[in-house]
Amino acid sequence: MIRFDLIPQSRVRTVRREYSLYPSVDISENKDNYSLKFEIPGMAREDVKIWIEKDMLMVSGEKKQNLDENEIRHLGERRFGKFERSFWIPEDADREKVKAEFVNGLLTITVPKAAESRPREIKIG
Amino acid sequence: MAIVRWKPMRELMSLRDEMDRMFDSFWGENDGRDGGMLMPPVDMIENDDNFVVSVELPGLKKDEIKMTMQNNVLTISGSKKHEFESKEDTVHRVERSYGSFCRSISLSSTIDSSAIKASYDSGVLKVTLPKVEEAKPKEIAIDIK
Repeated sequence: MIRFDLIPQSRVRTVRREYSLYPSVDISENKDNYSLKFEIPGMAREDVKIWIEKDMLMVSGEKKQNLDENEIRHLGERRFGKFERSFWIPEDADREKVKAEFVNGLLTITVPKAAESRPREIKIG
Repeated sequence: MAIVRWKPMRELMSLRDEMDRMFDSFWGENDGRDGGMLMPPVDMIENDDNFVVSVELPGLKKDEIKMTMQNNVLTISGSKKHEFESKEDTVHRVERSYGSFCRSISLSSTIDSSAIKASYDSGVLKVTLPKVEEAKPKEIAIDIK
């Protein structure tokens, strides 16, 4: 079975300099769904884009920084900028029913498994 | 799954990228990867009226964050537990960091401790620490004779 995985895609590499962010992601699976959780704190919902392209699930976004010239910056550990990450979609995924929610800086993408691929108990008749 | 033509150079190049990334993160250089949970990244700015501290704490709930102010040191602490508690979950990849954290920031003594405000929005804790009246910049008009 093909699992979700990172794609060292040539397209990503060539434009990599444009992307200054690389948000952390956790990927897990249960009997009904695949689940991807991205840490993108401080990002506006409308600045995040999720789409499916061929066999890939793509996630991109931009974290904007509000800079004010009148401010003095004492600490600057947070990072800002653009990111794009891509993942293979497993064969058994139902790509029509992909859902996403964004709560407390955590983007959760749920990819349900197609009904026929879920484990099914068969009763003895 | 689409059939992708195997290009040996592509794998070699991506290996090089991985190596770059490994070295970058080892030396703590900016590879764009967000800071780990154990050391949540902090920004602090100062304007005429306030100091503003922002801390990235994605995935936490408001009541999981503890904040204290003592002797002009602002301390933000808490812990983040992973959510794969169910044994039915198969975990494929873990890039996020978990565990407890504690960040302390020394502030100038010109802060009005009684008027500190904090908010937590889209994973960012924002603490506004107002300056005492005497510390705010004032324009004084001086007559030139």
